[in-house]
Amino acid sequence: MKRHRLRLVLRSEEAPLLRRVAMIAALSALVLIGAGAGLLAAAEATARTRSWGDREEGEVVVGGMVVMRIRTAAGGYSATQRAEEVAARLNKAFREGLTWNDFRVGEQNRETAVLTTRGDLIATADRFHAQANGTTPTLLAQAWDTNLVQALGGQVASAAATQPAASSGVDWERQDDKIVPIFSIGTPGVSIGAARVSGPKVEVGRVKAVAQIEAEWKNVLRARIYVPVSSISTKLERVQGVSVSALIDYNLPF
Amino acid sequence: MRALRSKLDRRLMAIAAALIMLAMVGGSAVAVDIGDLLKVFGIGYVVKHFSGDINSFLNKTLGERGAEVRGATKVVPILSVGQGGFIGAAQVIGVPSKVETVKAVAQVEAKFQSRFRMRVLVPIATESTKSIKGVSGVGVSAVLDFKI
Repeated sequence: MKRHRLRLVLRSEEAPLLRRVAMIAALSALVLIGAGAGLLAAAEATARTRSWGDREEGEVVVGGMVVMRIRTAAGGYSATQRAEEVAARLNKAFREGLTWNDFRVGEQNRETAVLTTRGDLIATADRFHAQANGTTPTLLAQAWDTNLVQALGGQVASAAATQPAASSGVDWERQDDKIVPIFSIGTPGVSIGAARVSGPKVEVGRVKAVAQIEAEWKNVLRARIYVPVSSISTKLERVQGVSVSALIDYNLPF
Repeated sequence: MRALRSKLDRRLMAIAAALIMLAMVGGSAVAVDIGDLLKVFGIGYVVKHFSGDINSFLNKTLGERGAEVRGATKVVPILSVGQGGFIGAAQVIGVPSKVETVKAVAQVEAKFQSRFRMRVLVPIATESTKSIKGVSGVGVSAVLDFKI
């Protein structure tokens, strides 16, 4: 008799609880379906024109979000045409099954760019674009990459974790040193001393010499600018992340 | 109506002329002042007051040669360890948050094998050479000498 009573009590409490659980499950399923549909819909890029004063800009839109803004015309293409090209590259990547986790910031043709993990170019963050945005090419490319990740429903934190914290996107930590010759930009064949360069091990390994540029400011200051380079020529190929930590002079015996 | 317009035109002309005069006088004053300031107040003072201008000049020079830096830069005085005092200036380069903390570059000189002279440049977070502790993630991009 006691058991029967107990069962009845349990049933009367279970009913609303079960109803609540069922409702939550149904709502969760709806939310999940909605989110899934949204993400599927987001995996398409479009381009559009935006007028900014008397200037025309091109916008690349993914899932209703502007992920890149092309501010200038280049190579015979208008800003909108360039945005269309970027959208076409993105759509190709989406068709190949690439998701938010398959984009990164890298270098192509000596310029910073958003690339796929396979190395295909999406958009180049050139110097003019960076200047128009008041930033550096690396930071601009990172912003575009972050926008892309967000628009595709990805985790921005994990994408950002690959970059050094609060940095310029370049690792400047000193891990290795090396002594290399200094050559003057005017006379690349002539060594005018030596410098100890410091930076990340891989980058230090690439440094062949330090190029010295001389400049004068307002007739009161003489500057010697040191550029760690990967080859000895008049065309400077700077190795980013490496800087000078010591200068070495040699006193000639005569 | 015409009288009012001509009055306004004259006022605008006067304002424009005054602005041009100010810009010209201001520009020449800066050109004269830096040399004088250097003699009167010394390197430390000039570096502190013109570090932004010098830094922009150096970055522009690098940009013109396609060798711009991907990182933060700043111009700070060079402190001589041993001699004491400011002996010049340096442009430091590196991670933005670390570059912000740099106050000076300490220069330590060493000779080896009688013919080699080494100047070690250490970015530091103080303007004192009592205890030198380098700021990691920052290096030197340029060394600047003043004509005194």
